[in-house]
Amino acid sequence: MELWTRQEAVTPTWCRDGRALWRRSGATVVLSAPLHDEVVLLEGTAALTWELLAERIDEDELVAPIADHFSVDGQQVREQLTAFLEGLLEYGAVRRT
Amino acid sequence: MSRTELLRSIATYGLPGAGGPFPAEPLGSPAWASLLRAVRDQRLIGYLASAVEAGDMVVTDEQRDEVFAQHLESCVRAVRLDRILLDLADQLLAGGIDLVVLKGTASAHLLYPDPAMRVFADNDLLFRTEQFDRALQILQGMGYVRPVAPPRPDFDRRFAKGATLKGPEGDEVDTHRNLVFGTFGFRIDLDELFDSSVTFELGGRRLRALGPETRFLHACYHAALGDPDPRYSSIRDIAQMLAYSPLDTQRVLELARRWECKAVLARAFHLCRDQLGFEVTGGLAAAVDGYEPSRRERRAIASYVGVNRHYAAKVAASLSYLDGIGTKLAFLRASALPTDEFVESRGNEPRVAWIRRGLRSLVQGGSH
Repeated sequence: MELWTRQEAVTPTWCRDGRALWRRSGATVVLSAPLHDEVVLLEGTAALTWELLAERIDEDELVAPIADHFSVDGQQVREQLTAFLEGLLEYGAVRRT
Repeated sequence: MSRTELLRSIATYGLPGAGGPFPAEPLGSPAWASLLRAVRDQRLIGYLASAVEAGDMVVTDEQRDEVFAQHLESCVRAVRLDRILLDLADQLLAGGIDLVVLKGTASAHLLYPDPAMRVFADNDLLFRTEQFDRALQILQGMGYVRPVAPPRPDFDRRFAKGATLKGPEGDEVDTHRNLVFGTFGFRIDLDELFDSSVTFELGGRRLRALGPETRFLHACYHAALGDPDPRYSSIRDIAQMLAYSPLDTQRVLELARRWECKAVLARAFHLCRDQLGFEVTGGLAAAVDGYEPSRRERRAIASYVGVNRHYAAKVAASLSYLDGIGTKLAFLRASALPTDEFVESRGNEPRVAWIRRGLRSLVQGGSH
């Protein structure tokens, strides 16, 4: 009997936190997370990412449409996307599983 | 194309068979500035933003920026008010208070495909009569202040529509125990408003709103009696519900019969046609069109939106809607002889003026 565990890199999935409040005005998303007084404005790639987070989605799935929409390199998107999602997580507007 | 015609096109944008026409070219500067001011006053910026975004309203780049700057400001206010509403609901529900969210947030989330279309400036909450005083105490404990005191200590519980409170963050919350002050309000079954309520989701929470039919009637009261020249946005809410809400026509008519407000519906439908150019059709129109308000109903409506509308006129018109001589006298006493605190909170209007108005109410009321 083989006894070992196989570890795989698991890509986290993300979705909006249901407690977040938001409105969209043109290309700008107005966002408010619980326990925070300040309202945050998302524009450009940030606003598009918020739209894509309407459904649970993993980071790989997020990269392609953003890179396509803004005609930028996927690797460049990936690096900034992770930091942005972490920021939204800290703010309380998204959930990671 | 006149400014009024253009406002009407904006106010009906998104309604079936309406929402146009729009000018083929961007407006010149003076006309644009005038339109944008009116759009703000009429709370139509959400509809204008939608029309601009879809390319139906042709604007210059600069005008587009102005539209979305104004809309963004409204969206920021709406999100902040939504957050405040959740805080209010937390405290009130923890205090055992039943509440129903009226108008603003509830309308934005329940009536429109995108809540950003429906902008608003305050929160409106309905409380049960027996919990009204306690609800206000909780709000005052949260830092809300009531600039205008009630005319008499028991006025809130017996006769008032509600009270406006100013919040510590500069926000405003309109508290209600009824949908209308006086006249038609005395015929509304207030328990029915809670019994038929529905829920909607906001920020991961479920809050109560009026059910479709009572919400529709509230929108009609608000547009028909709230102001002689109601905002386009108030009338749009009615049209929006007629076009898209699953209204039970028979239930609306049954409530209108019991609440004696068919004249209110008739005026609301007239406003839809006259102000918005929105044709009201179907079973409701068939039942309401041609309705001839009674003398009492005409007098009641005139007390809100007529040339001689005044608090005293509402008081006088309300007497025939109150049951029992004791109740009528209590209402007159509270209306004509308010406390010093109330008179002071209304700006130190000479006390004699209130007495004169009260006497006038009594005389007018006694003559009918």
